[in-house]
Amino acid sequence: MKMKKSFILLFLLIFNFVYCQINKTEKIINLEPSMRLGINFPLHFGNNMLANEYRSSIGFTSNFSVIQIYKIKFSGGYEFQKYNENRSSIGKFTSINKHTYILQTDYSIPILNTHQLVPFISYSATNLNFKDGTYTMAKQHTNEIKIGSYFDYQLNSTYSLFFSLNYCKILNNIEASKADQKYYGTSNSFNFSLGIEFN
Amino acid sequence: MKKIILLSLICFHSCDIPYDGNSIITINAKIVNGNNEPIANKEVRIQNSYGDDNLDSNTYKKKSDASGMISIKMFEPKGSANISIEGADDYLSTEIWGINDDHFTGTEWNVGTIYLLKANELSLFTIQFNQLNAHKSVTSIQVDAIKYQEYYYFDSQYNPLYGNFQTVYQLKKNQTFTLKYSIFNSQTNSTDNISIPLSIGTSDLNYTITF
Repeated sequence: MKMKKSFILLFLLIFNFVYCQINKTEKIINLEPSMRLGINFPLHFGNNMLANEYRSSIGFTSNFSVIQIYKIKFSGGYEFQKYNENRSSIGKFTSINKHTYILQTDYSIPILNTHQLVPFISYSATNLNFKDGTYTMAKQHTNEIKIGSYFDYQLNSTYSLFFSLNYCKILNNIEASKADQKYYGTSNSFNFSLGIEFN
Repeated sequence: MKKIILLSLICFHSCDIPYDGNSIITINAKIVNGNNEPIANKEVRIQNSYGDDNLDSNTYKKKSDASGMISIKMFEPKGSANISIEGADDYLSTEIWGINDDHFTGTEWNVGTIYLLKANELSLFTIQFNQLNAHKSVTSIQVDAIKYQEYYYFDSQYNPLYGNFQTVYQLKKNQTFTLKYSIFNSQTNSTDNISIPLSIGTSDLNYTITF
C-alpha cells in the first residue's frame, strides 16, 4: 500500500515536470546527444619546446555531448595530435603523439536561422608520448585549458558544419629547473578545427 | 583467446617506457686524459636499461666541448643508467654504472671527472696476501689513484668484473698513490684501517699485505 502511494506520487511528479516543460516549450534539461568530429591544426607560439623544436601536423578532434542544461552543454572529447621532430634538445625522438581527454562546457548563441556561435571552455588531461619510431621512450602527463568558439552552419536538422578557433595553454608541473619547467612544461597555441556536427 | 592474452602480456611486458617525461635532469661530467688535460670532441652516450632485456643507447649522446665538459639534458631514466665512452684515438673504452636517483638528487647530476687512459700509459698493480694470523682477515681494499677500469660503479668505484675484493688494478704509470685496506681481527673484534703511500713507475708493481 505504501509502495503504491509512492508510485502515484512519483508519477504525478514526473507528469507535472513534463507538463511544465511542454508548456514552456523549452526543456531545462535536454538529454539529446550530439557529436562533433573534425580535423585540428595547432599553431604553437612563444619560447617553448613544442613551438621551437617540433612541427605540428593535422590531428583529429572529437566531442560528445549528452546533456544540456538550459543552453549550456556539457561534453567530453578526445583529440589526437602528432608532432614531428625538427631539432629536439631533450633527446633523439622522432615524434610526439599527444592524446587529450577533454571535459568541456559550451553555450549556443543563434545568429541567423542557420548559423550559431558556440563559445566554450574546456579542461583536459593530456599525455605527450615521446616516440622513437614506434617505441614510446618517455611519457609526460600534462593538463590543458582551452577557450574558444565554434562557428556552426546548420545544413539540416541532423548535420552542421563547424569551424572552431581556440586558444590553448598547456600547464605541466614537471620536476626540472625553473627555466626547463617553463620551456619543456608549458606551451601556448591557437587551434583551428574544421568538421561536422551530428545532432 | 589464449593467443590474444599471450600477445597482450608480451606487449605489456616489452612496452616498458625507459624515461620519465615528467622529470628533467642534466648530467654533467668532465673528460680528461691521464695528465688532467681536457679531451675535446669525445662522444658520451647514456645507456639505460629498461624492462628485462632492453637497453637504450641511442636517445642521449653528446660530444665534449673544448674544455672537456659534457652536459646532457635528458628525461630522468626510470631504470639504472650508465655513461658509456667508446674507445677511440687509442683511448680505452669505459662505462660508469649507477647513474640513477639512488646516487643523485635534484636536477643537476654531477658525475665529476672521468679519466680516459691509453693502454701504453698503464702499469699493473697487484696485491697479494700473506696471512700469518688465522684470526685476521682483509675486509676491504681501496686504491686511490688515476686508474683505468673498463666498468665501475659511480659511487663506490666498485668494479663488477672483480667483485667487492679487487686485487689487480691498471694504474697510470709514474704516479704516487694511496693503498687503503682494513684488517679485521676476530679475536679482539676490532678493525685496523691502514693507509700506505706508494708509487708506481713504468713497470708493474706487486704489493704484499702481511697480516
